[in-house]
Amino acid sequence: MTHLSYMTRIGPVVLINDDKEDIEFIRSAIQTIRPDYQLEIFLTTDEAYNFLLETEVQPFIILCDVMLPAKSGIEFRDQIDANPFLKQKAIPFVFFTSVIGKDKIKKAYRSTIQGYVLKGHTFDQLLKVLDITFTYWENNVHPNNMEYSLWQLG
Amino acid sequence: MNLSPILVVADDPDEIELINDAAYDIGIKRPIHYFRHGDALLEFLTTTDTAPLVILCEINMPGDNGFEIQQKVAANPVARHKCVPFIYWSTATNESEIIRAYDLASHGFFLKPNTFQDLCETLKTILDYWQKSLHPKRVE
Repeated sequence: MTHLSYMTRIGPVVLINDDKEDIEFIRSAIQTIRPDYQLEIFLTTDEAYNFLLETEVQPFIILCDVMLPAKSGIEFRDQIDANPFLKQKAIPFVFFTSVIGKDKIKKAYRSTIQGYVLKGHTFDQLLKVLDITFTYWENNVHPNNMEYSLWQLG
Repeated sequence: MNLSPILVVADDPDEIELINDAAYDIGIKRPIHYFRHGDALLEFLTTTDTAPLVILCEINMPGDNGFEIQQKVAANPVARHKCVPFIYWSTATNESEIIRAYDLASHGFFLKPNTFQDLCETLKTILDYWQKSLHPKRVE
């Protein structure tokens, strides 16, 4: 009998957030729960977009705030989807924000998003929600982030 | 309080029983509805008011396969409007299946766990995440 087994290489976490204090909290939280993770931080979606186009590695996840200077997170999501190269990369796109408004959430779900997660008010809440988010996506099988090896069962 | 249900699209009765046992084991209080065919899922989505938490869908199904089922859900305005995360659930698979799942903008792709313990953990992982994710139907 032949089975597929796989190993997952975790690429960088791409964070888009323009609040310096938030960034530090998130960086610190990720350092706490996933010290080996690489974090790429962008204050604007344009900078993040350029990174996504140029990088050779497959990012693990995009954590994007909703309210941002210039292009919003929702516009950024649509921009990624409209680019065939980025679309086929299929990087999980998760809104990671404090914005709760129902209208914003409805609008977000008109795009193809893989989650809309609140950051929480305390550092502990942040730790917990990041852990849950990362655990989920770590356990997902993804086409661009795997090394396959075929092995035989006795 | 009405908890939004989990929808499982699966054909194998043994597997359905395992999922049920795992759900009980980890203390899931939500209703779980099982559908053995994509059309039954579509009917549920279009004729009930509920906004389910997730759809967990086998790829290999009699009749429409998982991909076809997701496409039918996406093509139906009523079903699509519910924005239910669509998660694939499969035995050891090949790369082209995974690529297809992501082309369809699914919300996850999990390999079926080999042990009951792993099944419990995987179910918990899935529920923990989607319970944390805000949804337009479940926000005031």
